[in-house]
Amino acid sequence: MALLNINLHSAPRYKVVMLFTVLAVIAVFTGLAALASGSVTVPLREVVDILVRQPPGINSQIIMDLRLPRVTAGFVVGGMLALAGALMQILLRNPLAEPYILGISGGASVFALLAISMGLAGVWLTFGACFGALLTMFMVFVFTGSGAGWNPLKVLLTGVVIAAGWGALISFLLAISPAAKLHNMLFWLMGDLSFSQPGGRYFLVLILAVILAMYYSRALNLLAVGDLQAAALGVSVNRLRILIYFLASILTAAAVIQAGSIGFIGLIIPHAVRLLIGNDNRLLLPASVFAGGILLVFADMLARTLLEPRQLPVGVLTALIGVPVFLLLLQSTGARQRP
Amino acid sequence: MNPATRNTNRTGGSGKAVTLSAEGLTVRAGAKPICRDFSLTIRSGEYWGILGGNGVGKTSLLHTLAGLRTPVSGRIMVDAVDLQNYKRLHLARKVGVLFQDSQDTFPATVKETVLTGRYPYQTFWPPGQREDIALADAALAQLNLAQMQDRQVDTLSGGERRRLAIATLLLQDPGLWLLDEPTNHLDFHHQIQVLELIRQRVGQRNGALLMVLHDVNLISRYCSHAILMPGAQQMLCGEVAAVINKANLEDLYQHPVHELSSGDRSFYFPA
Repeated sequence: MALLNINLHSAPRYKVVMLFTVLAVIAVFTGLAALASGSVTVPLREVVDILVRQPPGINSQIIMDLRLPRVTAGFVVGGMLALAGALMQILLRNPLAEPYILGISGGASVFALLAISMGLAGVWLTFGACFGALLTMFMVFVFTGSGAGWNPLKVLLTGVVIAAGWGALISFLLAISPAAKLHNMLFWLMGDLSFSQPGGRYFLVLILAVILAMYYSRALNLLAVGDLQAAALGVSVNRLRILIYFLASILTAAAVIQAGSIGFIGLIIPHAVRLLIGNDNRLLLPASVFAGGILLVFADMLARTLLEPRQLPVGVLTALIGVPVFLLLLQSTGARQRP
Repeated sequence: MNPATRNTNRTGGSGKAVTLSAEGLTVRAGAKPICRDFSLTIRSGEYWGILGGNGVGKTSLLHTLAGLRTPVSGRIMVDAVDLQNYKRLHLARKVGVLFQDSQDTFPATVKETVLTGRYPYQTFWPPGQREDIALADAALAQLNLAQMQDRQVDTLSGGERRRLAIATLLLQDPGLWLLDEPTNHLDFHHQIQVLELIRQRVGQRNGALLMVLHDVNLISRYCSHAILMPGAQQMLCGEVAAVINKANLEDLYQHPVHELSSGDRSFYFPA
């Protein structure tokens, strides 16, 4: 049994509303704190004032032009990774699945590193990552083969092998690159929000993905019970799998393009949310989006401020915060649940 | 009848008759033939049992009739409409399947699982209908699972899982029930309780039933018709009284059988 007794059938319905209210409040406060902190600390009251009235001034510029895009990008990327991870875990029927398992981040990384090694930046970096991610998505799909045999294990093996190939190419690129470019490359590989553009367009992608995932959330609940059982209850299993594959892949690609391969969120956030509220995807998917967004915004705030003026790769922080929290959750559920 | 007609009756049990017919059905599992040019008609009010040795393809045949497996050739019709012309969701309102086992990578609770039976009738919004929850509570109570409704399914015993799967099927409320070893893992009491419950529900709905069972005596107690699957040879179909006898069973299992008579019923045991 999950830690919190929140569900859509036996607990009082207000608890569900409360859950999402609490998540939204935490998200807003984390966002405000992230806007306030940095090389110049701006008091919270002034942050709110700047957001509402946008008065002229240096603080206003820092917050509106520098920090706000980064905070929104952080929330969007975190949400995308958590949603992609939850979907991949159901799609591959494997608790160890995460957004990068099928090689999408590997493909994106190879072409992003190529761009960096050629001295390209900005839009070329984005373009390279986008190309690599989409290329991998189609490679996995084609090599898995469509039709009746689109089974999770074959997708998983195909993806893992392709990911291993990209991994070798990444090592090769790192080995032949001059030292001057290595720092940039490593940051990209570990994941970093300082490359990211304002999150506006991607926010739309996330919203659309959440709507689509929610629409299929009841069918996804059945998929977790088993393919045959789902089919017998009226789910078109193959079609659903292919749709979820592309949805999770596009989310992963969009996240990687913005921020490199930030680890950990896509694997652990869905499990942490499962431990808290159980496996009903109607609640799990949207709650994961919030939790992923909150964790990444918080981690990025620490990455910017902990060792000022140095910046840490945010992927390091997501793991450093996430690991103890997750272990604590796992301990408190005890033997009642096998994640 | 047009299968695309949307069933607006949320409780589903419209009591309509259902007919399944297979014509010239050939099914193979890999290279192994399971049946060749097989024809069968199951009408409302009929209760069919399937008997056969291990690995002759009873489950494959059941899955084919449920539209979950494509036959090599032949047609399967439900209410005079070809299975291939059904949308999955519409078929799920007419045909329900009980499987041999279930998976639980991400286990749901008992209550969540039993509610999946309402999937064919639910819309995205509003979720978790009150009527559905009432149906779920009733089904769980009927199968003595009411106290376990918040348990994770992976903590249940084999027999409890079996009863949960049957409760889910009660919520799906199909006209045609295809059951793969419904009494697996069940003790004497629950075997009879579950079969009585299923027979009662199928009767109320004026539906039909086809079940794989290894217990000949339960088949002769609960079924009106039987299919004997002796592997590659010709299948034997007909009324229970006509096909279930000592000679046929010995042929079927290639094993000597004892027959015991009590009143007007006969019981069969492996020698």
